[in-house]
Amino acid sequence: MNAITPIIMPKWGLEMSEGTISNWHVVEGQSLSRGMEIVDIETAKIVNTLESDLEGTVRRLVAPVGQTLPVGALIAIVADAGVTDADIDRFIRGDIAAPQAEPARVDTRSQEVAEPVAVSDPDLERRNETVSATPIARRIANRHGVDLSRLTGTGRNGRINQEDVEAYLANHPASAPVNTAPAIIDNRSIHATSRAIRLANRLGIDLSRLSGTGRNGRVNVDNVERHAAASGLAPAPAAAPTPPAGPAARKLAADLGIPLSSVTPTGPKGHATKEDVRNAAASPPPAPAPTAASDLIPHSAMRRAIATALTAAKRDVPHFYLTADILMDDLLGLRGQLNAMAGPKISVNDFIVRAAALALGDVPDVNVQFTDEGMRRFTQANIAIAVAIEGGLVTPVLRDAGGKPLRTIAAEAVGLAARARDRRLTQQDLSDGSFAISNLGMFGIRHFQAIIAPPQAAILAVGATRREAQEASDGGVRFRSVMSVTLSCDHRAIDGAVGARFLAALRQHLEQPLGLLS
Amino acid sequence: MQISREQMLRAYRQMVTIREFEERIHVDIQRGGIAGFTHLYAGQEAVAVGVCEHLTEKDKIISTHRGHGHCIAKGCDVIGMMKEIYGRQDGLCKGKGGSMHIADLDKGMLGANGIVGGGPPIAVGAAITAKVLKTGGVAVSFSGDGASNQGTVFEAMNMAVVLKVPKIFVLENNGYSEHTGFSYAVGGRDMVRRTEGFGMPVFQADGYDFFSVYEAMRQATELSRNGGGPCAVYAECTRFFGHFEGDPQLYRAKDEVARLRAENDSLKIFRQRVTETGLLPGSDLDQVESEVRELIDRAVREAVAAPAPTEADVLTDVYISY
Amino acid sequence: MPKISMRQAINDALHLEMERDPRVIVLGEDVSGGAGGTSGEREAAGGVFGLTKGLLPRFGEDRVIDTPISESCIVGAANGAALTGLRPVAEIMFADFVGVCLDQLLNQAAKFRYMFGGKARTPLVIRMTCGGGMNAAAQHSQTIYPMLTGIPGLKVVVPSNAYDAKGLLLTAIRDDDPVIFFEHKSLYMDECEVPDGDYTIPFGEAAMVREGEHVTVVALARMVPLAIGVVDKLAAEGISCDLIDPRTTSPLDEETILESVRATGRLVVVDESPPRCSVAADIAAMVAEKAFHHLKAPIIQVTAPHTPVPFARELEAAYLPSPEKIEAAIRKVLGSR
Repeated sequence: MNAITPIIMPKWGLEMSEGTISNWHVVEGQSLSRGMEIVDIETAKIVNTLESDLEGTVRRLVAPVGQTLPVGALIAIVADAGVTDADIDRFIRGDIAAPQAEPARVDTRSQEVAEPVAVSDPDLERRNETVSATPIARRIANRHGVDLSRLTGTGRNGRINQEDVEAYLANHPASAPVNTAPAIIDNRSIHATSRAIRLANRLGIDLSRLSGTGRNGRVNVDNVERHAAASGLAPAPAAAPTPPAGPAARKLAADLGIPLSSVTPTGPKGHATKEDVRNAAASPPPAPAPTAASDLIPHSAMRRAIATALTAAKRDVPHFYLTADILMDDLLGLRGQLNAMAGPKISVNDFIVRAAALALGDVPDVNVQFTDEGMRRFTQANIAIAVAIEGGLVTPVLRDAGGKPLRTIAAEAVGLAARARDRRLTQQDLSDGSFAISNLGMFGIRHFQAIIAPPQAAILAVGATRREAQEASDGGVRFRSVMSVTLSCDHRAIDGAVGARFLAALRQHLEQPLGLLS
Repeated sequence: MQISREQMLRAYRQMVTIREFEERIHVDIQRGGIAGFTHLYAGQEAVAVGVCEHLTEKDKIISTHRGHGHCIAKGCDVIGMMKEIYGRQDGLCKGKGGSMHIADLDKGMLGANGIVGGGPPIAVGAAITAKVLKTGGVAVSFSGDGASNQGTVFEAMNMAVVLKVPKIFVLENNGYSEHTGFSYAVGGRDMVRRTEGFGMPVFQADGYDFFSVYEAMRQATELSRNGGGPCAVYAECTRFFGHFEGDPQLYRAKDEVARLRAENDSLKIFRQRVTETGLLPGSDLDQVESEVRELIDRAVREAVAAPAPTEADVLTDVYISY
Repeated sequence: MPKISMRQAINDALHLEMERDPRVIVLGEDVSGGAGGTSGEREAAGGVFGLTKGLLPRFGEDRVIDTPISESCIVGAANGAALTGLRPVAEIMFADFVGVCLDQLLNQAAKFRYMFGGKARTPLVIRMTCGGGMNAAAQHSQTIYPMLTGIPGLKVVVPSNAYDAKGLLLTAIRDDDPVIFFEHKSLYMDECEVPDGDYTIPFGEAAMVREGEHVTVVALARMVPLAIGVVDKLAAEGISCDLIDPRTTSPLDEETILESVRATGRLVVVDESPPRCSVAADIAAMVAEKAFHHLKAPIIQVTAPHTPVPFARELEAAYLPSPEKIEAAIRKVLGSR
C-alpha cells in the first residue's frame, strides 16, 4: 500500500495553540514501531514526547528543531518504500490529500503510560497516617489519593475502614486516577504472588482473567509475563535488557566498567560469557558511558523540561534573595482551632498562600511577570504552588488567592495537588502564575533558595517551623515557633526594597492571622 | 466360658493361617523372593487369636515389628498382606510399608510398628477417641518383654490409668528381647507386678493355650468396655523363629526350639483340647488346614505375579495435600 | 478490628474450632492444670503461657485433657486419636522437649500415611513454644523447626504475628495431615489487628510484609518484627526491601522467594536457629540453585551461631540475630556487586 501518513503538531490540552519542536528522536529513513518516541514538543509550559501509534518508515522530517508551529501543522511524513520522494514533495505542497482521513493517532507518554497504581504521595500518606483508619483502608486511600481527613469513619470508635473508603471512592470518582490506562485494576483480591500482582499492576493487566499455574493455582510472575507477551504488552523491561551472566562474566564486566546491558550475549540460554564482555569492552562504548556502579536511566519528558527551564532561569534571570523569620505561634493556634471544626482541614501552606496573596495586594510591584515586551502586572494574585510528583515537580496555579477564603484555598489546593499527581493538569492549570511558593517545611528544611520560573518574577521558599529560644521583654527566654522564608526576586522586575516590603507585609499577615480569615 | 463350634473353627483357622503364612515366608525368604527385614510370629498364635476373637472393627489394635499374626487375627486380607511383604503395587500398603508396617485401618488395625514401644502411646489415643466419641470400642496394644523396658510403655500405662480410657495392654513375653533373654533384660523379672504398679488389673493367661488367652481377654474387655478403665493381659509364649529372618539364634540352646515345637505348639494343644473333649472332630480341623494351605499357596502365587510399584509411586501418599 | 495479642489470637482460634467441631480435643501438660491440687481450683493454669485458658470450663474434661508429664505419650496419644477420628491439638510445653518424644513425630505421625499406603489420615496439630528472648537458656529456648521441617510427612507452621497465628492455626486444625505449630514465646504479647471471626490462611503462601526493589529479606517468626524495623528504617534512606515471611517452612513458598530474588538480585535470610542444616541454609541453597544467575551478590544468612542458647542476658543478646546484624547484612549485600 502506497500510503502517506502525515504526523502533525498535536494538541495537548484546551489551551495549546502551538508547539515548538525541541528534539527529534527519529531520523529520516528510520522505521517506526508502535510506542516509539518520535519527537519532543515544547509548549508554553511543558515538554512532552510524541509517541507513534503506527508502523512505517519516517520519510521526511518537515519541521526542524526550534521551529514553532500551530496545532495541526505537518511536522513529519511516514510512508511506505513504494512512495516516491516526488509523491512526498507533492503531498507536502498540498497536491495530494492524505489517503487517511485521520492523521496518525499520537499519544503522549504522560497520558497513556501513567502508573496504573497510584503514584505515591508522601505528603498525603503522612497526613493519612495521623487519621484513625484500618491499614487496608489507609492503603486504598493512599493508592487512590484520598485524603482520609475528609472521611467519616464508621468503624470501631469512628475508625475509617475499607468500606468507608470504597464508598467515598464510589461517590468521588475523580479521586481515582481515572486516566490511568485500563482504569483501576484491583488485583489484590486475586490469588497471585506479590511480585505477580506488582507486575500486573505495572502493565495494567487484570489478573482475574489469568489462570495461575503456581501453588494451588496461584498466579505467578511467569503467568503474567506470558500473558503480557501474548497480549503484546512488553513486560516493562529496564532501560536496556540485561542478559543473565555467570559470576565470572559479571565480575569481569564490573572490573572493566562494562554495563551488562551493553553486552551481546552468545552463551547458552542467552547468557553473557566472559568473551562477550571482552567483545563489548573492545567496541566503542555508548556515550555517555556509565560507571560500573551506576545505572543510566533515560530522561523522561518531564525531567527534560525541568532541566531546560531551570537551566535557562538560573542562567538568564538575575536572582537575589531575602530571608525573614516569621513567628508562627498565633497562626498555629488559630489553625488548631479551625481544624477542630468541621470542614476541610487547612494546612499551614494554605495560610501562607492566602497571606502571600494579601501581601501581593499590599505590594503590587511584586505581583508581576517580566517579559521582553514589558512588565505584566496582575490585578489578582495567581499563586503557583510547587507540587512534588513521581519523577519531578509541577507548579499548578491557584487563581485569585486574594479573593478566596481560606477554606476555598484549602480545597482547591488539595484538588490541584491530586490532579498533579494524577497528571491530569491542563494548560489552564499551569498558566498565568504571578507568584510562586515552594514549601519544603514538611521535610524539615530550615530555609532554602528557590529558582524563579520565568516569566514569574518571584518565588517564596518556605522552611520548617521550628521552636527557637528568644529573649523576652523581661530579659528571660521564651520559646517561639519560628518559620524562615526566603524570597527569590528577579532583579529585572523587583528591587531589593520592594521585595523587603513584600516580606514585611507577609510577616504581618502571618503573625496576625485573624486577618487571614476575612 | 462360652464359645461356639463356629467360633472355635474360626479361631483354629486363624491360628493355622498365621502358622502357614509364617512358615511359607520363612521358606520364601531363603529362596530370595522377599526383600528387607522380616520378623516371624509363629509360635505365639494363641495370643493374637485369643485376643482378637473378642474384637470387632470398632475396636482398634496396634502391633509390633512382629506383627503378621496380629494382622491376620484382626482380619487383614492375607493375600494383600503377602503382596505387601513381596513389595507389590497392590499390596495392602502399596508396597510402601512392607512386613514391619502392615496396616488396615478399615479393619481397626492401626499398623505393625517398627519401633519397639512405639505402639502403646498410640493406642492410648485410640482409646481417647473411643471415650470422647463414645464408640463402645476398646484399644489394644500388643507389646513384648522387650518393649516392657521402654519408657513409652510406662508413659502409656500411666496415662491410660490417669485418663481412665478403655485401653488393654496385651503383654506377650516370648522370652527374648531380640537376642537377649528375659531373665537378663527385665529387671525384677516380673512384668505383671510392674504393670499392676501403674494401678491396673492384669489378667494372666497361658500363651500356648488359645482358651486360656480367650478367657483372660474376655475378662479384660468386659472391664474396659464398661468404663472400668485400662487393664492388661499377660501371656508367656515363645517364638519358633529367630528375632529376624536370618538370625542364627546363637543365644538359644540347640534343642530349645525343637522342644518347644514338640511340647508348646499352640495348634497341637488346641487340636488335643477340642478332639479329646469331643468339641470338634479332627476331620474338621484337617479340612481347615488343607483350605489354609491352598489359600497361602494362592497368596504366594498372586504375590509373585503382582506388578511392582513404579518410580512415580515414590512421591505419592506423603501428604493428603501439600 | 480489635487489636489482640498473639496469645489471645491462638486462644480464640482454639475456642472457635472446638466450638465448631466436636472432634477437636486439646491435650497436654497443664492445659488446664490444677487437677489433684489441694486448692480445688480446677483450671489453675490454662497452659503455662495461658494459651488454653477457658477451654476446660467451656468444653469439659473429655475434650480438654490434662496429661502427666509424658511427652512421648502426649504425642503418641494425639497420633492414635487422629488416626481413629478425632482432631487432636496437643501441646508440647517447650519445643525443646521434642527431644523426648521425637519418635512419635519422626517415625509415627510423619509416616503413617506413607507406610500404610495412603490409607491413614492423621489430622493432628502439635503446638509448641519456641524461641529465645526470655533468658530461658539452652533447654527452653530453641527454635527447632529446621529439624522438623526436614521430616517428610510433617507440615511446619511458624507464625510471626497474631493475625497469622489465628488464621494459620485454624488452617492447621482443619488440615488432614500432621502439623507442627511453633509459637515463639517472645511474640505472645505482640498485638495486631485480628478479625473476631473465622478465617484461614493457606499453607505454603508467604506474606509479603514489605515491598521493595533492592534486596529480598526472608525472615521467620520473631525475626519478622525485627526485620520490619530494619526495613522501614532503611526505606527512609531509599533502600527498599521485599520482606518475605514464609509463615510455613513445610510447605515452603519457594515461588514467592524466587520471584522476589529474580527481581532484586540480592537475598538476606534471617533466622533465629543455628546455621547448620537450618531453614536459612535451606532457602539460601534453594535460591542458589534456582536463581543463581539473577544474584548480584552472595547470599547472606543472619542466624544464631553454632552453639546452644546461652542464659545470661548479655550472652543471649549476643546469640540472637539483632536489628543491627540484620541491617549490617542488608548494607553488606548492597555493597558487594
